[in-house]
Parts: sequence; C-alpha cells; structure tokens
Amino acid sequence: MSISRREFLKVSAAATAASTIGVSLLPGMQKELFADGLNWHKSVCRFCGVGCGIMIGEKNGKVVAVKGDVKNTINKGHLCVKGFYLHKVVYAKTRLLHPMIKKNGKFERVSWDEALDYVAKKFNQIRKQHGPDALAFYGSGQAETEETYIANKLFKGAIGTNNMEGNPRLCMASAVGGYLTSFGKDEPAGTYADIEKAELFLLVGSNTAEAHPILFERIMRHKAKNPDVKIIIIDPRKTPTDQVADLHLFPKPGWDLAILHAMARILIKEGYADENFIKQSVNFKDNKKNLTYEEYKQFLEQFTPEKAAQISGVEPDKIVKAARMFGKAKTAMSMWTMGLNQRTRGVWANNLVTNLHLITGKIGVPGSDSFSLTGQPNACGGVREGGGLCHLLPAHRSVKNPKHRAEVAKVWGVPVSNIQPKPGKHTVAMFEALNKGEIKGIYIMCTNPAQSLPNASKYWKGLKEQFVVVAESFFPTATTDYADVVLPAAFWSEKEGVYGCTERRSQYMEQVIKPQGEARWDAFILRDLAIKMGFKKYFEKYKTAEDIWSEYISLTKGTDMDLSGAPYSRLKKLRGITWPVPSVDHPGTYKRYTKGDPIFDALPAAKKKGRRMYFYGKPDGKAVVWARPPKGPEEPTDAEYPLALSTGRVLEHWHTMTMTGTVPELVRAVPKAYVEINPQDAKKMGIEDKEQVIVETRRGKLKIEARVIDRPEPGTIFIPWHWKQWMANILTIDAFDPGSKEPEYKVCAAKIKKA
Amino acid sequence: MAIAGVVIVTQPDKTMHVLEKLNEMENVTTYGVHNDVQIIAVFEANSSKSLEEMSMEIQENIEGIMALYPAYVTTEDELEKLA
Ligand code: SF4
Repeated sequence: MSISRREFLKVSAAATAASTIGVSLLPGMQKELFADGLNWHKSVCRFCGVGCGIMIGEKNGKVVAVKGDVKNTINKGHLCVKGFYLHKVVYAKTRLLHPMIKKNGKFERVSWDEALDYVAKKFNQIRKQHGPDALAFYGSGQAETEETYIANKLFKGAIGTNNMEGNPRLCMASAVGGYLTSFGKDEPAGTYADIEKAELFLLVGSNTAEAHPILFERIMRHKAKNPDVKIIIIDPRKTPTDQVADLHLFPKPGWDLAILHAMARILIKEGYADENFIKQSVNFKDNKKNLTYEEYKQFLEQFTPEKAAQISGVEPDKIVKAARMFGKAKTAMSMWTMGLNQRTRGVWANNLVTNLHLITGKIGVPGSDSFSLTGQPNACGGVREGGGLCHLLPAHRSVKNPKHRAEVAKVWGVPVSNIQPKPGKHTVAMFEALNKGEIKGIYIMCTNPAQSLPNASKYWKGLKEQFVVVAESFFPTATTDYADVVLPAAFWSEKEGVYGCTERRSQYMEQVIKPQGEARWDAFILRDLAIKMGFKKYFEKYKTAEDIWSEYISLTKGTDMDLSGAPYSRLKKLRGITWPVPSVDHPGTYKRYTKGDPIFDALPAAKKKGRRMYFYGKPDGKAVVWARPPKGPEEPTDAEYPLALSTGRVLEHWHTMTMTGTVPELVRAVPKAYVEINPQDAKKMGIEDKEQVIVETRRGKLKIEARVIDRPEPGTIFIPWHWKQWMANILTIDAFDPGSKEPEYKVCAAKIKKA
Repeated sequence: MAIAGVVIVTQPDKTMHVLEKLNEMENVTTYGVHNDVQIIAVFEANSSKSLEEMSMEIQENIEGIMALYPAYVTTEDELEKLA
C-alpha cells in the first residue's frame, strides 16, 4: 500500500471515529471521507439484537472494510469488536460453498438440482407415509424476515404442519410470554430513545457490557454526562457491566423473584406508587383469579426485605435501597435478557419486573420502560413478528384463531384447511419427537441446535437417526455432523432483506456482493424446494426479496405491528423505522399504548377518557400486575451437586462461534472455554487457577480449565457456552417454563473436582 | 496493512494519562480529546493480527480506559490478496 493511500486511510479512519461522537476533525472532511475509492453500502450488524447500522465498504466485488453507520440512530457510528470484524467472516475458510449429500457416511458434492430433488423426494415420502406432522422446520433469529416468512408458508401453509420453530424459543420466548400476560401484546412499549432520558437503569440478568455493548456504551455516555443517573444491577455474577453500577444485588441463581416482590412492597408502602395510574390502567391477578389492589398488597406482605433476603441471599438493606432508588427516580428503564428469560419461571420473572413500572407509573413516558433486550439480530423481526414459532402466524397472529388462519391463508393463496388449528411442537418437544421417531425429517436453517440445545447430547440421537437437512453458511458445525444434506446459504452482505431489532425497528440491508461459491439465498432455496415438492402454484410468484416483503407487510396492515407504511422503497432510504407505521408518511412510533401511537390515537375518545395509557391488547385496556409465587429453579443445589452452574457469553464471541470462530483475532482474544470459580470455593476444593477440572451435572461431565476469579459469588460457577470442544450445553438442564417453553439454561446444580 | 479508527472512552480523571500513554506507543496516532472523556485514535498494524493485539494490550495495560469502540476498520490489501 502506498504511503499516501495509507495516510489517506488513517485520516479517514480518524474522521469516521470522530464523526461518531459528533466531532469534525477538519473542516470539510466529511466530504473527503467518502472519496476513498470504496463503494459504501448500508447494512445492519449480523450479530446481536442491538441492531447497529454498519456501512459495508466494497471494492472490485469484495467486502474490504466496515464502519459504523453514523446516520444510524442506534449506534451513531460505533461498533463493538464483533461488528468490527464482520467483513472478515464473509471470506472465512469454513464457508460452505457447494450443496452436499452424505453418501456412505461421507459428504459428496452434488448439484443444486440433485440436492433439492433428493430433499423434496424424501420429504414427500415422509409426508405421504407418516403425515405432515412427521416433518419439521427449525429456524433462526438470525434469518431475515423474508426467509422465515417463506419457511412459514411452506411448512404451515403448504405441507400443513405447525412443527415450525426457531431458536428464539431458547432466548426470548419468556419475554414474549411476559409482555403478552402483562400488556396483552408482545414487544416493548418504548425504544432505545428512552436511554438518554432515563434517570435510573435496572439491569436484571443482563451483562449488558459484553452481550449488548453498544447499548452499554449509550448508558455509559448518558451517565458520564449526567452523574446523577443511577444504575442498579440484579445478577448473580459480577461482570464488566459492574464498572458503572451504583448498586449490585447478587441473588442466588434463580431465586430473584422474591426481591422483585419485596421491591414492589416497599414502593407501595413508602408512597412511591402512582395511585392514579394504578386506578386508570392496572388490574391485579394471581395465577388463578383477579385480585383487588388491597388483595395484591396483602399478597406482598409476606415479602418483607428479611424474607426476600432469606429466599434470595441478598442483604435486606440492599433490597430496600434498590426499591427506594427506583421509587425516587423520576424515570426508570429496566433492561433484562437471558438471566430472566432462560428460566423455568421466565415469564413470571418478566412479569415481576414490569410490575415495578406499572405500580409506579414509570411506563409510557420518555425515559421509562420495561425493556427486554434481544440476543439475535432478527429474533423480534423474523420470528416473533413473522410468526416463526409453532403457535404463531405472521403479524402476531395465532394458529388457534380461525379468523387469523383465514386471513393468512387468503394472502398465502392456500386452502385454509392446510393451516392446522393446533400448535405444533415447541423446540424441546420437537427434538424429543425426533428422538422418538415421531418426527422423521427436519429442515434446519441458519442455526446449530446440536450445540445450542440444553442437555444437548440427549438430542443427538434423533439428529443421528432421522433425515436432517441443514441450510448453513458455514461447514462443519456440530449440527452438520448429523446432516444428510447440507445446502450452502448466502451470508450477510450477499443478500438483501430486513432485520427487526429489539426496539421494534425494521431495517433494510443491501446485497453488496455475489454469494461465495454456489451459495444461494435461503428464501429462494426454500421456494425452489417448495416447487420441487409440488407447490409450484403457491411459490412461483416470488421472484425478488421485495415480492416477499411486500406480501408480508400486507399481512401486518391493521395489526398492532403495522408495517404497511414500510415498503422497500422507503426502508432503502431510512435507517429503519419503529412500528406501528400504518402509512408511508407515518414517522414510526416511539411509545406504544399512549399518545403518538396511531392505534391509541384512533381509539374512541370515550375509551381513553382520563387515561394516559390504554393497553389495547387487554379487553378493558388495563395492564396486569401479577402476584406470582416466588418459585426457584427446577434443579436447586443439594449435598450431591452443591454448586449452581450458570452459562453465558463473552464479548468476543457469539453463540456457537460458527462466525466469530472464523476470525483469528477473536479466537486469539478468548481462545478457550473456562469455568469461573469463586476464590473461596476454589480454596475449599484445593483448585488452582488454570488447573484442569471436571464439571459434572446430572446430565454430563466436562473437562475444562478453572479460572479462579471473584466474578461468580461463592456457591456459583459460570461457563461461557460458545465452544464446541468445551460444550457447556451437555451440562445444562432441558426443563422449561410451562408457559413460554423456554429452557432453564441459566441455572442447574453442579459439582467440580480436579481432573 | 490494517487500519482502525477508534473512540477510546476514559475515566474522567484519567483522560490525560491515557492520552500520554497512547502517544508513547508506536503505530498509534491520536486525534485529540473530545467531550472530555473521548480520545480519537488510529491504530496501524502490519496485519489485523497485530491490530487485535494492540487493542488488547492498550485496554489491559493503560489504566483509566473504560471502553474502546472501533468505528472504522480496513484490511483492504489483505483481502485484495484473496481476489
Ligand atoms: S452491539 Fe451487537 S449489533 Fe452492535 S456491533 Fe456489537 S454485535 Fe453488532
């Protein structure tokens, strides 16, 4: 590289970084910046659910640079270290370049026609012999909305099975259950714009600094500018998020529900409740019946700080302090993620956080919201909104509802009788059915269940025995090991489509380069499979990604998540838009259930009279404060397994590392898994730092390096779950929340000994 | 050749210390302190390997850094070789 080009790129890099914090390094530089010989294209980060805008720099048909998109309201130009290396993943050595069929135990390269003919023939045979429910689809919160939409139509609308699931079941189903039971409609009321207006943050079961770094940065910047902003963390483990915390409550894993009830009790007792809001907008319920406000208060009486301390292990004065901080702040934003969701009482935990906002009226106003964070970039958009779970249809519809089935069948152009009224099998039940041979063929798209399922090794049997098709961008993965057919899928930057992130924002991503090798876009792979299976008349009309998106948004019209005002022509110009967006001139919605939400605005005046919020998902427009029992984890610790094991993430890696594992820089940064052990426990067991140990649960054993560190509390241990070689999920428990069916990855009982 | 433009967020009382330390480093060019706690810097390295090492080293060894946010990275010529 010539010196002048190098200097030029240096200045460009500096200016880009400067522009992300609103600084212009040299007058007029902004213009120069884009004359760097690269073509820049608007996209969205492929990793977490924050939804950062990325600009892709392309030269001669190659992706050669990325920069944060300064115009994107989410990240304003910044990226975390994962986004920073995204363009290198495109050219990973592990990219799957050709379709392959396993013949005599070995994968052989075949043509697309041969691969799809084979899958169509096998799927049709299974369907004919065993019925449609012997087939299943397992998708991903990383797939584009268009891809999930086509899969949904193929399985629910054409093949006629509701055995259609996706990995968001494993990460955010409890948040869905929480919002539905509290508000009557899924997804948050507010957006990220609340961050800069909040006086207090309550982070529960969320290592925001590592799992959602750019949101953490926004919180940090906000606190730096406003030192009175307070941050409370409720989490069993000390994490890098602690560097900004004012108060940290360390509950025993899985025992935090009592803390939230105790906080509610103090808020009411000490006069922090918004009695007017409660009267206007809140009902009370327990698991069986409606309660009066008085009955709810009586229910709370048992949760004195001392009682909550006894249950949770958190000091009573800390609980009181947290409640008072929450009560005193004029505005408060709660954020949570897997620590609450991945629990056998994940829905209840979600309800109890939302209770705090409903009791104090800290919702529906700028700076206040109960805001669930999403793990994957399109879990909200494609799977929650697109209806990619076994009980859902597109646009928050339900398979059980005859009107919903009729509406969807009409747009899909399929007989309504094709869509079954009974929900299919949820994720754990689906893989259980594969083990039992009730499901005989499965199509897995863009995800790696052989590693990511809880109690993973239990489910390898079904994957081994049944007919498994895996559409993936990378090879091998733990799941392709079991595949009969692998289909190479186009990756980020090689396809266009839409991602919908945590804050209800749908963002369009451009196709920048041609797919590597023979890879093809997942939606078209599915379309062509559908045609080969005999469903030509339902699928031949989809010629472009826009055809699919346009049909999808027509189904959202008039629903609570109206995207009909967000066609491609508009999304291509915007940095996304937050639904409901009912017309092309609508600016998108910042706050739901209140003034400015087009659905609220259109309600008859009599309904809204005297009310600042109307939760239109509930028959009387009132949200529900829940009196849930303070249940603990499914598998509490005991004498035989005395340690509580929790799993989680590190900044540098993502999920099963099929992407971050291809970037040498990230691999070198955190090359291997480890188990974090508190120094007190390590001392008792005579375990030294970096020593090999065996972690054992009732499901499996894992040999792994010990990291003696004060991050986990005594009595708890932690393993980051990303590595195939050190597969934490052979240890985790597959017990699931009876409401959301989300498994309890976050807590199980374990023991450790020296290897 | 890898080049990265980054924003380094510092603890308010450590900003000048971080700036000084960065200026002592080879292959790091700073572009001023902004909004009191943000330093713009460019890292240059012969490959993205050493770029990563530089980032890690800086974060680990310089006291007062709260976070480091890359805003721009190019490995233009490394990828050109793939063509
Ligand atoms: S915070 Fe999430 S979306 Fe943003 S750059 Fe990092 S991984 Fe990507």
